[in-house]
Amino acid sequence: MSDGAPVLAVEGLRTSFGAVRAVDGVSFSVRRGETLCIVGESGSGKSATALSIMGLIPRAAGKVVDGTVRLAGRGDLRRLDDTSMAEVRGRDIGMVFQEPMSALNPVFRIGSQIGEPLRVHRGLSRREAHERAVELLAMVGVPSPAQRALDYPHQLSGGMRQRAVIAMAIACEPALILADEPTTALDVTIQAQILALFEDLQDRLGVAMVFITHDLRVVAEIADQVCVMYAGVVVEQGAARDVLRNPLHPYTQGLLGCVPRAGAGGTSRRLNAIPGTVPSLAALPQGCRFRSRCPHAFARCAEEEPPLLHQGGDGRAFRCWLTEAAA
Amino acid sequence: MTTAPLLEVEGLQVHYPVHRGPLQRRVGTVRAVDGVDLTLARGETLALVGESGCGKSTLGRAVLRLEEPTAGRVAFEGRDLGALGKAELRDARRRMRMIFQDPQASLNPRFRVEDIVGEAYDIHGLSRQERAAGVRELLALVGLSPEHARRFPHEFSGGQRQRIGIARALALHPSFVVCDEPVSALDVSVQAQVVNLLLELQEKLGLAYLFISHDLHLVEFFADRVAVMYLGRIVETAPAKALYRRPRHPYTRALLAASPSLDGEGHHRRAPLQGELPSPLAPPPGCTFHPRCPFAVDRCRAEAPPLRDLGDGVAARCWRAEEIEATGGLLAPAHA
Repeated sequence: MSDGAPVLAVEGLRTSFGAVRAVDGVSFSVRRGETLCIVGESGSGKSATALSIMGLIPRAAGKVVDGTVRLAGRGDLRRLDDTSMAEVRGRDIGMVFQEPMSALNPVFRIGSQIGEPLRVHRGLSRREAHERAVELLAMVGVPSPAQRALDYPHQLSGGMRQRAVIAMAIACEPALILADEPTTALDVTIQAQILALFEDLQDRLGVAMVFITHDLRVVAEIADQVCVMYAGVVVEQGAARDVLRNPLHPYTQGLLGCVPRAGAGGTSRRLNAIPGTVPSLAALPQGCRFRSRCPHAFARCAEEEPPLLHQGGDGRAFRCWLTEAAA
Repeated sequence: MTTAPLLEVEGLQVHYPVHRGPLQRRVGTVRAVDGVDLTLARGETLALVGESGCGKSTLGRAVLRLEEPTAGRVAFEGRDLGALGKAELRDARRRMRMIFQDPQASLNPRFRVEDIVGEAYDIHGLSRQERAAGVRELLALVGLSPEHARRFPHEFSGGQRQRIGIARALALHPSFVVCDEPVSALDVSVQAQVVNLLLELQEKLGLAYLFISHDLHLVEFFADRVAVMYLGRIVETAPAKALYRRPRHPYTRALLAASPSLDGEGHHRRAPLQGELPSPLAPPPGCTFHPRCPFAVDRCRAEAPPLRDLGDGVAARCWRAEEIEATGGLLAPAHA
């Protein structure tokens, strides 16, 4: 399924908002037909990573300060000017966000919004773009697509709106879809429909996907690879199956323990909660960022921040002194 | 349980009139809650699950009479709430409280924690000393320290704010708490802390919970019994274990199939449920689930099934529950 050179390769990405380092050295790559999930809690830097890739960090608020974002056929996106970057967005990379209304203009019909990138990037006429928009709506499973294309966003349900946004994202047959919590606002049966739709589109179009979520269960469902982020850094990454079955970082272990399931905690009937809260990025502890909440922390964790330690050749890596010692 | 149930709900209805047009003519009725029966024993947790718009939150509010039901009866600790006068209802409310989804929105930002938690004491006329002692005790109970009493809500994290909301709910020694999606707005690691706190408080104080949630895995872990709602009605009710092991209603089966899980891969691919929730303004005739049900036959389209008792504390609103179960859900889907 995944072969050849990566579609997207991110290397040493760092993004600052003033003194706050929201993304502090993130590296990963994703190939054709592959899904990479970035999972984390609020403040982990997962959304800032997405915005950094797309060049959408608001200038007044912050900037990407280091690293490369290489997209196949486009080179390092950080070197592109605004015009080229606008071309990349919508043509080479399709975007889907949590709240479909934020991606849809309330005063334009659905069909004309889906057709817009085709007119702008592909030079299609208004009528051609409209016809293609109807086809795209059918492709993403919107019933009566010809009628829906004439609707305004408020006339569609949340699930249908998200399908329309996905139709817009794939309009120019992008090499990569970047989806930030695309199913979080949806009900579980609709979420299942949308996840199945993404997989179907990947099979048909071979598109690579970066999928950002807070839900490890969604990761277990769809990911080939996973990056677990905590306080701005990747604390563990690798093949999703390996990371979920055999987590090496105490944070990944802790997150998995928090996921409710029948009979968790045995007779005591308690979840294995991680104590404390996510630290503020403005006041990170010295050493390992997770150490104040880590049940295994020892002296070295307070002195020195562990680097990303690689294990084997299959991209498995983690940031923990303890696991290094045990390995 | 041999004693009378703590809470008994019979035929509860909440209908909203819908007005449209320049003359605001009444064009229809939204049946948000459409004839619900429930019982809850002391110390028990009953979970209400369903998708958005199914009426689970409205039901929770109507049980507490925060929403005036259009029909039906709610008896709490043996008293019919509809028959109580204002003062008596206020008295009953000391023992039945609510925890909300969004701790940010449910805490007055201009009140100190001691005033938020202690407000119930003021309303119910307790002395200043009783109030101060009570607030201290409550904060300790939910894992906050006494110095937190003087602070404002914005000084706390989401998880701590939910603890404040819980402390407020517990102020007057309730026996029953409606928890409306109490952890949905919280980070995963913090969710687990709050879930554990709710379990601990239940064991310590013998609380009964009506636990409203869309997270089926959380409910499986947390609840004793589960009621599944669809378009204002309960379509299945069962002990939690039985519901997950042997779901009887096609909607329950679909919900479980659609829920992603850590151990099973590809749940979403197996999700058989098509379409979306129909408009509650114009619910389909017959069984309201039939347009999305893979097993629907003519009878389902014509005749609404009652909530039928299937034994072992399980009941389902489906004509074909036994048939579908006998074939393990592999019954050839009827023509849609």
